[in-house]
Amino acid sequence: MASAQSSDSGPGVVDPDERFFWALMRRFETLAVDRYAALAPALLLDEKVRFVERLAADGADPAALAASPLEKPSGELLARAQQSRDEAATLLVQGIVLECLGQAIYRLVAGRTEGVSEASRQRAAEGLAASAAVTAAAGARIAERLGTGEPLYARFADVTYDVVAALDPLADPVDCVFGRRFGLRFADVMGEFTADLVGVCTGLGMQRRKVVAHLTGAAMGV
Amino acid sequence: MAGASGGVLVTGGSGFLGSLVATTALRRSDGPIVLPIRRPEARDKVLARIAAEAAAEGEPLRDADRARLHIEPWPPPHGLGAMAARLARLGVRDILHCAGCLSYFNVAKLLDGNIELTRRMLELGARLDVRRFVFLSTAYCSGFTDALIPERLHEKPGEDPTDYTRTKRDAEWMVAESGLPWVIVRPSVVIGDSRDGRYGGKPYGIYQFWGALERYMVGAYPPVLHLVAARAPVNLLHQEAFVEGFWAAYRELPDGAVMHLASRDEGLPSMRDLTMLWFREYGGPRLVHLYERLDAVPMDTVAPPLRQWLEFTAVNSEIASVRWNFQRDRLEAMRERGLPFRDVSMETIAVVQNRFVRDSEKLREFVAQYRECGSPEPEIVVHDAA
Repeated sequence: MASAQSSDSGPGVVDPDERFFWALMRRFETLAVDRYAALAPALLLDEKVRFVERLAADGADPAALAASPLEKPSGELLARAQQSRDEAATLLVQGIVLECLGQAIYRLVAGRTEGVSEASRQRAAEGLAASAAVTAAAGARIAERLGTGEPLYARFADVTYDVVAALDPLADPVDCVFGRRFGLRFADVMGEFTADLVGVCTGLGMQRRKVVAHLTGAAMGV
Repeated sequence: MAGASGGVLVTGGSGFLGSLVATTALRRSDGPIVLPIRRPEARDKVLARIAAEAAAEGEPLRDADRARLHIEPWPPPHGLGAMAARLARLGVRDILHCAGCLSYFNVAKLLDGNIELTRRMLELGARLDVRRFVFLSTAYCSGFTDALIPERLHEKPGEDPTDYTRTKRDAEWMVAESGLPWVIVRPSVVIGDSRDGRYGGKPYGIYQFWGALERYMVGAYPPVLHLVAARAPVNLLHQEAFVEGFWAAYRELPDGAVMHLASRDEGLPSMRDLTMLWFREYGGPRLVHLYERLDAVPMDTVAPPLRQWLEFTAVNSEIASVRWNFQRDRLEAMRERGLPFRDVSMETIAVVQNRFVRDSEKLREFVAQYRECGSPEPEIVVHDAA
């Protein structure tokens, strides 16, 4: 166990609730790195790999996660993310959608001035930087490999619907588990996430209103 | 058509409007009702939905009604011949094509759900030599226009609000050029029943505003709220009015007729009226800024949940910011002849809104909190376009 050890990235996370949070994030980040290694090596950045290694070193207890209300909806989200079976889908689902989700979460945690330890704030800042770097790389690779504009939107809408639709069941568990403790609320995450994702998509030439309508449809089940 | 009998094929029976039509077909006709569904495992759900609607109308399904219902899987493209033969044996004479895709911009799904499916239904109709093919379209397939929107096919449409409206218009033309005896029904935005507020549809239209509020805003209102709430009347239509109008169109209109189903303008609320109704009923934050359009909102100053709410309701806000002037001559003529049809009013909207809140635990808690702690009458600052 290296949970309380210092590392080159600062002190380890010791607070049990925070360790639980990082155990959850580690599941998503580990999947991301695995998917990039298998299907989208252009996104396998050193920064991301190092970040995942640090999360692993925190050694959070997976049993607590298994017993929490987050287990089922987060497992469903992970399962849907794993359905990306080629580079194109991995770039869009993992490199854009889930990395934007990660950035939204990390930005909110890194920006908390109370209720969150310095160790977690620092860890979140690292995660935010790593995620932003991956998203930038994904944007470049998407433009090169899949093109931009309307044809890209059609593909984006097709492969990301199920993943975005899997976010809504996380709402109550996130508010319940992290809302009171960290002030991390699902609505705040979604607000940041949507703003980030729409920005990335319009940067790739997709029409803003179409992207927003797609996200609305997926997130609200229409 | 009046008094005609025979079997009816209703598509879209697993959806909101299709299930209302199927329930009505059961109640108002005496032949077999065939409901093709995409997912056979949803059979019990479809049946339960129809049973619930029939019960809500005070006419619970009897065994004889259930025996008339034939819920079947959609045939594969090469299976239309076999299906036509089966439908002919059941005595199906009419097709009420209510199925469709309501995605706003997913062109692949829209082409599949609105164009290809309609093509197959028309082919099926031709094989059956149907007496009537009724196509459920949308009043908004005219595209944006300031002019009166006529009850005929649109030859020069305006810019489309969404790809959904475009594909519905394209499908209308396919129907009209099919050679079958057709009728097209174009409802505006269907909301819950005016009597008890019940609603079985997805969160479109006004429900998208309330649904997004339920999802993203129930933590707390920000002290200052920025909302898009235009002054144009919103063309809402109660579900029981939809049912009456649709059925009358099916049974009474001549072949080749297009009919708009929309409430009279006089009582229609605007988004601003609806916003004020919400605050009057449930309280709100201290200060509310109202805008005509989303691009007038200072988005960089609003909190993420509110930004999310504004973004997710943006397309509907845009549609609701425009005056849609639907011709309603056919409906008015039917009403003069005695068609029962309840227009939307602030009073009936309140019934629907209260039902939505009553059915949502989150919203009940939220409004209770604001009744206690918030201002019952927030200060309103209106930012009208120049």
